[in-house]
Amino acid sequence: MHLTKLASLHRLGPDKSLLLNALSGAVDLVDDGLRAELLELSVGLTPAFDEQQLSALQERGYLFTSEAEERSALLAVHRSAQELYTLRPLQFVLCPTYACNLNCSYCFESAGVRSRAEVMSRRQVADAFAAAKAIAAAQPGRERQIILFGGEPLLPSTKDVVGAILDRAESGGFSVQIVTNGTCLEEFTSLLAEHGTLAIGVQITLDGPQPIHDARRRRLDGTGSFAEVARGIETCLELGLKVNARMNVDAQNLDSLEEFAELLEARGWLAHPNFKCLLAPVTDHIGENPPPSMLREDQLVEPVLALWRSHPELRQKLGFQLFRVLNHLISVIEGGGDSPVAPRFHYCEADRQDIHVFGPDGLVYICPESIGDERCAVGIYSPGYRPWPARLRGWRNRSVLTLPECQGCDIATFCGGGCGYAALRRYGSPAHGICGGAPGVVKAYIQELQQRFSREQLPLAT
Amino acid sequence: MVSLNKTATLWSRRLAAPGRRGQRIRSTAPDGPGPDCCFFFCNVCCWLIC
Repeated sequence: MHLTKLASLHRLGPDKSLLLNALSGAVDLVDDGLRAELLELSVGLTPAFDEQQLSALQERGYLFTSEAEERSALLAVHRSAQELYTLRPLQFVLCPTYACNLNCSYCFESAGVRSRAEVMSRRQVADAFAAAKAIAAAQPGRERQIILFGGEPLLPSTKDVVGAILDRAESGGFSVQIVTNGTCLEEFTSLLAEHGTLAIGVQITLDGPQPIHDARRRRLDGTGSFAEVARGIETCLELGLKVNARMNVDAQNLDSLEEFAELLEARGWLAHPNFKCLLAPVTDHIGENPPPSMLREDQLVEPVLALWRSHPELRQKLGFQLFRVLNHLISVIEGGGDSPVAPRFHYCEADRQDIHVFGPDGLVYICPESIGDERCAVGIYSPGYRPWPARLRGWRNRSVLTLPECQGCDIATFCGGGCGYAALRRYGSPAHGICGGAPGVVKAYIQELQQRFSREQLPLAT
Repeated sequence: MVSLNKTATLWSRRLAAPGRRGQRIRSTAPDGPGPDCCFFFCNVCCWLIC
């Protein structure tokens, strides 16, 4: 009899513990008797489970006849998850420039990178599409997606090259998404309208009501950007584009979520079928220079859960999927939320090389956060696509099944192994696990459950 | 032992269940549903814009 290494026990109160299974996704409540027997099994003893317990533990994916059988079950879940991942588009991120017209208080891109004024040439655009087609040829049948990113991709200086990218996307059968600060969108109205068949989606960052947004997302001259961004959102909706408004959340704007939702409602955006909002914790994967107002995901657990309880409607209005570990745990443990969440074998698209980033420096990167840092480049695309196998090797098959630090971790598939770029900066290779905030989020959430359990019957999903 | 999620919904069963595919087919229409991976959130998206 073998207990999976991906099981963890968390005491909720007297005679009641939560049993989490990161292999099968099972979540169960157990009493102290069964808790003791499971602990005994984990240290090599042979407890006397009754038949009903034995059958339930086997059915729920906790007990196996051997370690080999456990591994085989984990690999079967992994295979299914891999099939799911292949339904995602292959993403080709084109950065027309690294320059940006804003100086946001929490930007992860360095001021040095953002001050580089170089703009992608038409030759580079042609070479980037040639590289994208060569990469995509290895995975026929998958949707191919162009993402415009930067710096800020929509600037007066990039208009010509953005037009060239949209032309090639249209003729090459790529879908298009644009990640923009939204300040210059109006200047791109006719260009976007000309490419209406692309069904372009636009992510625009709006960090809260005007005073808060303007304090965080300032122009280089120090003035705020709210008015232009709001107009940009209107412009996109009028053009029939899908708009994803992203709010980067930290201590500076956490208290304004309710007011922010009212603003989205008052402008009629929340009711618009092409509009959705998404919250994202401000992150600092590298840890060298964290923004002073940043809150780690574990620090956000308590305030976010308190908000959901006092204003349950906000969970639907403001998307919380990028609170990845918390969203995952809650969807499993309490139900609700959006789509069912799959086990997380990878931290992000970069771990599967489902994303390639092309910069105006002629280099290819795997992670959008690493752009402009030549130490992180994985090849050249212009002139001619030449991948660098030694640099790509560490990203290949990067998953909780292969990362040495993740072996034996009982929450590995809730976490995904952490940020590969952070591992690259810390260890010189992405082929290492980075714990990041996942254990802290689990701990904070379990503490919150304990407090709730002491006060009330838990509103757990069944 | 009290199970808080149904055995039929466990990853080992739900992910491999016949018929999962096709529950949501990607549509190019602006208001069309997302891809299958959005029906079953893959949880690896950087931007959630696919």
